[in-house]
Amino acid sequence: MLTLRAEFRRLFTLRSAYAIPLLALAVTAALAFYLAGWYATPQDLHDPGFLATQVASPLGIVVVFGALLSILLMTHEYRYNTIMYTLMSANSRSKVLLAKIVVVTAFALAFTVTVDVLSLVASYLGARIVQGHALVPQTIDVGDLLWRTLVFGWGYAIAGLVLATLIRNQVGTIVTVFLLFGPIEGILDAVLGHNALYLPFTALGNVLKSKTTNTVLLPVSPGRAALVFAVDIAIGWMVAWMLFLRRDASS
Amino acid sequence: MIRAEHLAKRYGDTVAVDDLSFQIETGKVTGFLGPNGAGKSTTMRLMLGLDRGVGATTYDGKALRDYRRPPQVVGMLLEAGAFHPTRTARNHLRVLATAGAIPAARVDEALDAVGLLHVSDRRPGKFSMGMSQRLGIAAAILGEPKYLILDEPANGLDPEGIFWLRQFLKGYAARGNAVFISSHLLAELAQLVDDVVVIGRGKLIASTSMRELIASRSPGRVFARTAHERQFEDLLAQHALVYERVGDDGFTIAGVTTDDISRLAFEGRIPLLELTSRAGSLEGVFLELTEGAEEYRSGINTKG
Repeated sequence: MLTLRAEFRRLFTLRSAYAIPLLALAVTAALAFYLAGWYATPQDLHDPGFLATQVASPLGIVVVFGALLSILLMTHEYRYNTIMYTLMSANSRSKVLLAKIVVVTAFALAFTVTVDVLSLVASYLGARIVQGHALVPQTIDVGDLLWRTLVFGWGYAIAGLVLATLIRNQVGTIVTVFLLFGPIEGILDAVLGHNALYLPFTALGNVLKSKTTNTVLLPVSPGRAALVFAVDIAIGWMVAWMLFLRRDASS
Repeated sequence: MIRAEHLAKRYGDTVAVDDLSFQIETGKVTGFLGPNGAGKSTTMRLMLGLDRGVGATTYDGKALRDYRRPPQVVGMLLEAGAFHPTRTARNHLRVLATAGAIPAARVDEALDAVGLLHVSDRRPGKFSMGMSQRLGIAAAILGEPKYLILDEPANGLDPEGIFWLRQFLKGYAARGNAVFISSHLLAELAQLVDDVVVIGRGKLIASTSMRELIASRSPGRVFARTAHERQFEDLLAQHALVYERVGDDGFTIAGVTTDDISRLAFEGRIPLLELTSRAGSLEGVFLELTEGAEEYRSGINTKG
């Protein structure tokens, strides 16, 4: 419990813990407002699933900010050598890692919910203010939308933490996340064909997509995609956890 | 008591620490000496469980992981500047205090003790080396641990800081705690430590008291001055003592203590104007002990 409290304090005494989410929320608001205000067609505005669709679009982009913060939470420790104090403060390294996972999870969930709400509000305002007319009555399956966005937001943050635990170098981890997220999985998608659905970031993408957000037939349901991601991340954590316990406390 | 037993660590083919065993007693300051690359920092990291290696270190018979709150057992300073540059000094210590179940009031007390209370809300990224070192010392003493493990704590400190550190560590040990300190400032260490552990190329060279180390390596020498040089010279010759004349009225006598010469002079009714011990220096002993165990060696002859 003390380790967990210290980990929260560690996060919230960092400037980037405020700067990064604020930047992410500003991007979310601007993007959602633009997409609903200028990009959406009149037909879109007559779609009862329009707002639900809009939530996914900004989240797909700003989710990297959540991943970035979770990367910094771990890699700052090695960059500034505070990992010595962190490991010394608890009598088990597992407690330290568990505390970091809990903190990243709590942050990611709160961050994703905030992005969801802000996207809805900004999209609604965009349609009202720029397009000048009200949306048709919207149908939002809140439960479905919430679990998929939460898994997506948490997934990126926790994947960032796994990679940071494995790599420990700040720049190296950030570059790796962007490479995996973009070019590497893109190439693997082309090579693996249908089997690409087992790749972690592809799986996360499939969690966010649904019949309301993507008309293309999905290779897997969001539920199965979440399961695939869970297996991927569990394998990643097994390796990362073992290395965290066994490696020297320096980068 | 800290007991380090059979500590060993390899980096590939390089042996950093090789079957090192020693103990550190409470109530004393123990110096940790060795040339650059001898394995001092690695040994300290092994003792704290930060590096994975072979061997075990116990604190009062228990491994550090067996204590519920390790920061209240051992405090450490392994590197100045081990803090996030934009997290204020106070917040840095608050995080450590929270993790170690240390009362929040200790944060300001520790900052005050090292003279950083007035800059506690500043970001330490722009601290000088000395200020960073002081913040590291504050972190080490935060939990008022029984054991302090400090790697080069005097680096970057000004003379006032070094004087403060010496007094502080002596006082800390005198309260029944143990301080284990490495430093290359041998003259400074000589004034501070009670015991010494000397290593070279990862191996133990000596683990003994400072007094015994110097006495064993450099036989006692005494300097005496008298206005009765002739009688004094006869007296020394009568007792077959080896001496050297220094100036008009001085003598350096080998293999004796000031007590011996004082007694002799009293018995011979020779008044002495000066009587001082010329024991060997820690620096001299260190250079002698570690000769050939240096990882890096300058081209200058250090034997003097």
